[in-house]
Amino acid sequence: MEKRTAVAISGAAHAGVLVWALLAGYFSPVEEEPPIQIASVGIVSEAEFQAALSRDPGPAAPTPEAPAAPEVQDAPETPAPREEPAPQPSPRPETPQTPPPDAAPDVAQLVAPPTTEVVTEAPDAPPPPPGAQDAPVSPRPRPRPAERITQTPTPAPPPLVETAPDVEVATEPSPEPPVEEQVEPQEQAAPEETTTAETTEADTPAAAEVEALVTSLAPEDSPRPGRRPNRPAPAQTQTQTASAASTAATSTETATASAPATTPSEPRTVNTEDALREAVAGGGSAAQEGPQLTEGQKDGFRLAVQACWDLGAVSTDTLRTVIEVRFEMRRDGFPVSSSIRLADSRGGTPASTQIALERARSAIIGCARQNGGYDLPDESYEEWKEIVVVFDPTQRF
Amino acid sequence: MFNVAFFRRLAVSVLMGAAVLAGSMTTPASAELRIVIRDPNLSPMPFAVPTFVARNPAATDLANDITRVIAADLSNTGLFREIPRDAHVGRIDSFDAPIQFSDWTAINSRALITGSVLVEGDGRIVVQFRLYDVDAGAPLGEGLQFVGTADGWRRMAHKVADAAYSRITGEGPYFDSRVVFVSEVGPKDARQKRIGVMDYDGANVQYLTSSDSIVLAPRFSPDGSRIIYTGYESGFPKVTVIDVASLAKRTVGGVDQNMSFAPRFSPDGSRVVYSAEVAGNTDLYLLDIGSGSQTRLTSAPSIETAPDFSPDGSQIVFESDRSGAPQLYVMNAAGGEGTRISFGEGRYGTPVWSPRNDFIAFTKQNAGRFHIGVMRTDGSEERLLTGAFLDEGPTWAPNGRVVMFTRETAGANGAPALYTVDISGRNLQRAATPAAASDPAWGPLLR
Repeated sequence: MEKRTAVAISGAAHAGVLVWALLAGYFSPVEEEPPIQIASVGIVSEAEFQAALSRDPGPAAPTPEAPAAPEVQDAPETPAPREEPAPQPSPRPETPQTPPPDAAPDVAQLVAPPTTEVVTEAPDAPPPPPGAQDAPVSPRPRPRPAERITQTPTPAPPPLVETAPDVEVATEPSPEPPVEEQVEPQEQAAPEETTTAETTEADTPAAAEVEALVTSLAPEDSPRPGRRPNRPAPAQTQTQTASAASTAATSTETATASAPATTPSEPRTVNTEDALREAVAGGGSAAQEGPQLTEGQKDGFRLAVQACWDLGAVSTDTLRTVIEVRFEMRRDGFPVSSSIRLADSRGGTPASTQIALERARSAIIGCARQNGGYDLPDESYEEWKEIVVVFDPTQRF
Repeated sequence: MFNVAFFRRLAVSVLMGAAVLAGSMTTPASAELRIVIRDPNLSPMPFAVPTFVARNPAATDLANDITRVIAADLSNTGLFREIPRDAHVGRIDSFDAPIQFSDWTAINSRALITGSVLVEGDGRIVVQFRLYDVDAGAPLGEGLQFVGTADGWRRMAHKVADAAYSRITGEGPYFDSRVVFVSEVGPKDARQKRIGVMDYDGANVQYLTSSDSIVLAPRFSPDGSRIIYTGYESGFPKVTVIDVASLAKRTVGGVDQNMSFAPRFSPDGSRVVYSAEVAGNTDLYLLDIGSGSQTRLTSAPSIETAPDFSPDGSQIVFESDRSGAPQLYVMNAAGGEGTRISFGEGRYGTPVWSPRNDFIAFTKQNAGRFHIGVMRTDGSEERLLTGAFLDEGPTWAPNGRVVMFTRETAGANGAPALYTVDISGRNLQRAATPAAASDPAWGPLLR
């Protein structure tokens, strides 16, 4: 009995060793080393070597046939070097000959600048056009054509306020905030005119040329892609799995299956800092309902707002102002105008911050209007129902 | 014999899992989407300015002229782009009529300027205007009305443009200002120079001196009533002040019979800092105009020149070759050694302190080219705005946003001209002058 046990143990051990050796590739054929190249070497004496050197080389090896010389054709007439034009006095923009000196200063017309008596005036502005209020929340609005000139007379505004003559103007802009903009989508009725490509003269010529070329070749506009169709399957799978969670095996399988839906499948174009920000700020959204936005969807939103973010006519202080704007989104892809607010700012004055906020607000609302709402997936609404956009123009100045 | 790769993958997986777990534990839960945008559109803002409404027949031509000046002022900044009147969909037939903003959004206009002109019986003209934010569909600021004489219509146009420019950009105004410069005529080796004054856009040129003596580097006093320059009326360079209204001239400062040059007013107009060469050494001196007393500010054996006050008058930036090549230094207005602020390659000169106290503009010569550049008052953030055969002598617009300078072309027929450039380095433009011109100095805003 004991012997049988020992044999069994020994057999099992040997079998284990054999299995291990098999798995470890012990019995796999060993890759043969490449054969060593052996060259036979003979020893010759110096006399033999000299004799070999002085021997005739023998018949020459056939040389490759030289290609036929190209047929000489009449060479195109070589342009004669252009003679440098003899230096000729070019017409000068100014009088080439010394004019006689003035006998006296030309001051006949010299007087103090005409005084412009600026009169304080604050004429009431005409009433704003109708419909300048927030549009009510509605399902996906349809673009409507731009309004044209009205054919019916509109009531005249109230008369101007009586002016006090010869009083300096108070040119401060009205502190009142502008009227809430309408969020209704509006069809782009006229194409954007060609913009001026500006380069700094101190830039290298090559860089300037490249920038000008890129600007000239870049399309001015492109049609917006259609809204991406809903993808209910992954969301349902994830939701059902989360609610069921009956067995660990099932959860594991579901998580594995749903992983591709939540993993960015498109090439990332954001830089490291953006990725870090998103990882920190958006990482917690995993607990939200629905699939997360892909990086492509986030980039699409970013590019859409950026296209309308216009700082072409702002102060240099504004170009140094970084603002953080927070706003709410409606499920139809339109921002809630009244929710747009300044969350944070740095690097600017109160005035520049205010202008930066106005431009950001105009970009957020204007692009939504131009595009018929932002192209964000409905199933991820929980993730983008509140958005924070950091507008940072400092790299452009 | 162990499968090393397998264990390596296992270890990496464990570490990644731990990292993910740690990350999920430290990441705050957030239900907001966060986006960072860094690339704004810097193209000029399209605007529309329909011809101002002439409120009586006598104002028809004037209304058109004023409208053209306003459009030119804004467009020349490089920050705005006028939408041609031919492209307008809407018409402004009455200054008080309500605005149909859809007519202006249809042509992508972002701003709209409307106005009217009236010529009164006594010849005075009345200009009214309003500015609208087309995107917002609302006025941007209050309407304004200007009243002036007929010969001051350009000033009223400039004031309208200034108001629109400031309200939209947030920058200070500068259109209603003048520039003093040196007008140059004749061949390069026998130039005749005289001091001229013009509107910032080259209009209304007037000459203050005759061309029988050399004049250099004129500068306005802070209130614009006087101009100080280096004159050779006596055959020797002397600091001279001329009263703009009466054209009365007088020599100020100077040390005995030595050369004095490169004068600049202090911000309050009570003092003048200038260079004087005494015993072969050029130093800076401060003159109190009221008392006539002079103070020597520097005493180095090197050449100190091209001084300019800071906006608060407490500091002076100047050029010195004490390090072997001309560089920029800042010192207390009471004098002293100064602190060097320029450290780049090349030679620096003609520093000018921005009226906003944020930058110092300068001329830089490096690698055979001249540049106009700006740097912070401590020398940091140096940026070159231009580059050419010869650029020199920058001067700031009253709002500190635009720099004017002299650019001279090469060759025997080269001639100087005045150019402007935005502080961003964009929008380089030649200023209109009736002849060759150099040494510009921007004056204060007119009152």
